[in-house]
Amino acid sequence: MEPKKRGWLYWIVATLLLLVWISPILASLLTSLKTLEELNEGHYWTLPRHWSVQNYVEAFTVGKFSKYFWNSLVITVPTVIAVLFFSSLNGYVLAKLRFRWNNKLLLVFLAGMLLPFQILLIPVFYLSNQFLHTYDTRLGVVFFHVAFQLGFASFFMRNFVRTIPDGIIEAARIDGCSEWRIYSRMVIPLMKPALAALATLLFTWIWNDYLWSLILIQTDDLKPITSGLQNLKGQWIASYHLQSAGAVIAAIPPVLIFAFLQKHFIRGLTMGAGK
Amino acid sequence: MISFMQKRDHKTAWRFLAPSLVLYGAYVIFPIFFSIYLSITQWDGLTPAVLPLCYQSEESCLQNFIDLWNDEVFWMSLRNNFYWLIFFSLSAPVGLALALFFHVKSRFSSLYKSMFFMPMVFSLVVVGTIWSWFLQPNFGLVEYILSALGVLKEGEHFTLMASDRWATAGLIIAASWPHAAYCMVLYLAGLSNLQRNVIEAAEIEGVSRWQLLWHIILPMLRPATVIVVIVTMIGALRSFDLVSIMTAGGPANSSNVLALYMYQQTFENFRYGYGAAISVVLFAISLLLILLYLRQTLKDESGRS
Amino acid sequence: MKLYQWTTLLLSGIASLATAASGDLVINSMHSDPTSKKAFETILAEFKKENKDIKVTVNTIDHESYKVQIRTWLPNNPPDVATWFAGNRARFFVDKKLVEPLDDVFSNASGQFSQGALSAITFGGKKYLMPTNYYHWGFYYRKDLFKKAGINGAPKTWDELLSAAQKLKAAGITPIAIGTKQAWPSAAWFDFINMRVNGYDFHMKLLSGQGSYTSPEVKKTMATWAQLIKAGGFPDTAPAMTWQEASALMWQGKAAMYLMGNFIASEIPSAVKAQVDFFPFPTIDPKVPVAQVAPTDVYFIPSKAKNKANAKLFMSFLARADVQQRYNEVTGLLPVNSQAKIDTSNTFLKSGQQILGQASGLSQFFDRDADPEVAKVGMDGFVEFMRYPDKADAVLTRIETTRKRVHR
Repeated sequence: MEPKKRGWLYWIVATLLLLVWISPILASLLTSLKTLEELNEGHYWTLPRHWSVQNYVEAFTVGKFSKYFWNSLVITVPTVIAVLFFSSLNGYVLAKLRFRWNNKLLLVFLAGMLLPFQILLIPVFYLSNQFLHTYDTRLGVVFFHVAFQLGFASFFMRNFVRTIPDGIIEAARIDGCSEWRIYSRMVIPLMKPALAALATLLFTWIWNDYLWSLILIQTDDLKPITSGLQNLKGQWIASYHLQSAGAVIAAIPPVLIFAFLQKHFIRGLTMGAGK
Repeated sequence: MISFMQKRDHKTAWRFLAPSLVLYGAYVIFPIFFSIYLSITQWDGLTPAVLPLCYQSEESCLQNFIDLWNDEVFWMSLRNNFYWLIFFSLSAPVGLALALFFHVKSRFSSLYKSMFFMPMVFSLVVVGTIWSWFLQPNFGLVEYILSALGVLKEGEHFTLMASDRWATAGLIIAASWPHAAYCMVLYLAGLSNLQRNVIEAAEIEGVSRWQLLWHIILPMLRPATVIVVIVTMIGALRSFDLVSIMTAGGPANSSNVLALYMYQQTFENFRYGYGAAISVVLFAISLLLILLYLRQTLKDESGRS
Repeated sequence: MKLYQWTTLLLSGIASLATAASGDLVINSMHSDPTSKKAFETILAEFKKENKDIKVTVNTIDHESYKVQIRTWLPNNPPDVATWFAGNRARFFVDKKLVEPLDDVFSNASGQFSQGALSAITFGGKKYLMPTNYYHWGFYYRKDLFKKAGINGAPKTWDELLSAAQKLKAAGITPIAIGTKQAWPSAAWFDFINMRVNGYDFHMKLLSGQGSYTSPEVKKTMATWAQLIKAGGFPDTAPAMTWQEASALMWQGKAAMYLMGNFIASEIPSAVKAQVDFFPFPTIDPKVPVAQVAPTDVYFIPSKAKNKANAKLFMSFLARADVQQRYNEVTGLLPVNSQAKIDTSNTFLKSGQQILGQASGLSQFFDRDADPEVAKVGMDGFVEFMRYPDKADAVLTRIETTRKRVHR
């Protein structure tokens, strides 16, 4: 669908809506500028007594963010690429090939999402520690994330590949195109919006994952940014001010990714399937 | 001819699927079966050897499930999960509304959409804390506003999150917020996939905007809706993070949910077997619901094509 | 880029991912907050100076995550030294033979640790844990609010506490602050009242699983506690606040007392600091000797550690009075080594050292002394009880059912 242009009234409503919508985030920005003493006194909603970005500096250094940033990128980027590749293959198979197992495999991919995944923590730990010997490496985390995200991603891609009219694919087959060629030259270009949306979601989830890296990585030097964030929490004292500052820092990459990729959600349609 | 084509498709299918199935089998399917096995043991998560409860013993292999049946916290959590299932799904239409609202052509719309996406990105620990401050008695934002409006009298407090009946409502509101952003992304992707010519044709015929949405856009968004419905169902049944951060299941387990209760039993109480049994029940419920929904969907799909 | 170029890039990426670090002494720590971390870094620098040839690696995560993670590495590939809690929570690992005994380390430091402190780290006659610090619990209160309500001095008996609560209530002040969003602050009340009513030995026997929660003694504990609840001693909004959020009630002058551990002392805002003082938990039955709650942090060597010699060296280092002194100068907690000195200008620390020194016994805390599952059911029950004090029997029956199943 082609987006429309809108007038000024629209933008006023949109801005008001936005302010309400992100009020929790504005509140955490406010929190990130305060001292813990102010927060402990119960002053959550007043303006900070002294304006200072000290909390950001402290969160960055105490949380060892510069090192963890790199680890998070090293874990997230290969995972997203691998999942996009494999899940689009799966999506194509499940949606467009005449294949007896289609619906059963779709259910298998869905089933992986149904169990509360926390119960898998220890079995997956034993798997990577005893059998695959990838414990305490970033690669082990990547492998796991790729496998685990495949369930949702394949289901997602299957549903979007279905929207491609069968006619185009049949025509290509009759022209003698190999299935690989149909996949890489026809399906992938048509799937750009869906892939961009999926990439955004995947990037966000893997970037924000804490539990799996907690179980699969022991050494500090290999941990992702979420553990830096988590480490700002004390045994008794919650450092709300540092945690908020850290959360703002940690949220920057996924938001940038979204801002960059969301254009493709829309641009993709101009080459849409309405030929 | 057809059988030749099908054979070719089969071969391609397996070749395309193979790497995924190997990874998925090792990291997801095998641990799922292992967890199901654990539900008939009394594993503590530490000792290496795990034997079934009934192995050379008087005990029933289903002892964990019998205990579960008699566990009032389990029933409370199950009840709360059903509340989640019903009310959490309201975030789906909100997500659709946002996607339609922001599906506009403008330099700003990209910025606005990124801002609306923020809830999904922001650390849940911090989001959960801020939401509990919104809803907190004594110092919470809602209490300040209600007091200023005179709804709350002097000495009265906004006790939603301290109440053993209403705390779940606060949790669902907070959790719907990032989930609506998630649904928005899914619908934005769906909207970009719509076929322009159909909509244009409808517009030329002078269809009203409401009819356009209801009879043309929504049916065309169906693939996205199927995804939204399934992730929302799963999200409601597996709700965990915000419950753990905002109430930890309290007061006195009144806002607990199955996934969190499982986690507490498994990791705080060293009852891996019992936790696995809770997971199996949750798995069975989810599977049943998904199967019911999916069967209908697949039937509709094959009916159309 | 061609596909094979992508593949080589991917493969080289994979190779760089598959590296793990190692060291001559690996320490896993749950003390992640800035203060504890700084304290540990201070003494670690000293250890490195004394042992230049040992390469030390420290892995730190916050203590909630640590409790989950420990079960992955402890039985399989543990570090050389790890942090934990004293009491029953450690016994669980000791019983599973996952902890190395430290008797040889302690034989060099004999007489430097009190009997009370040693009892929390000794299991089956062997010493397994190195205690580095503990802290006391008691009442932190606002002197100005007490004066305003016409209360003379800190309560010494239960009756005085009750009447103080009534006077504060009459003056429009919430007598006692508490936040039970995390359930544990409620358990401190059970610990103290039970120890004051039934004595230390009864309490420890009960928590170790050998006593009944439905006994008349425990019912008496709950009845005593109910007096204070029914007198309106606690805010009814408690379940919606963490202990830290609830402390704001006291700093804003809306509540007058708080039963809390001494970690609260570092959080008192400077504006009210002069008005905040401490008194120990009052006596209830004068015939019962006074025991205290003193949760202890410890270090231990996992039995599968790779560098045990270095780990023992580090343990001997941690046992030293001068090391514990320097460590706790930063943490603001009490060193366990009795020869370590404390900052006597800190009145809270001074009273802490005094009451712990005079105590007839030291308990660790409800959720460290009791089995984890009993503790969870217990603490949830206490939160419910504080809201509905008439439900005492139902709550106790539920705890007793769990105890019977766990300790059968």
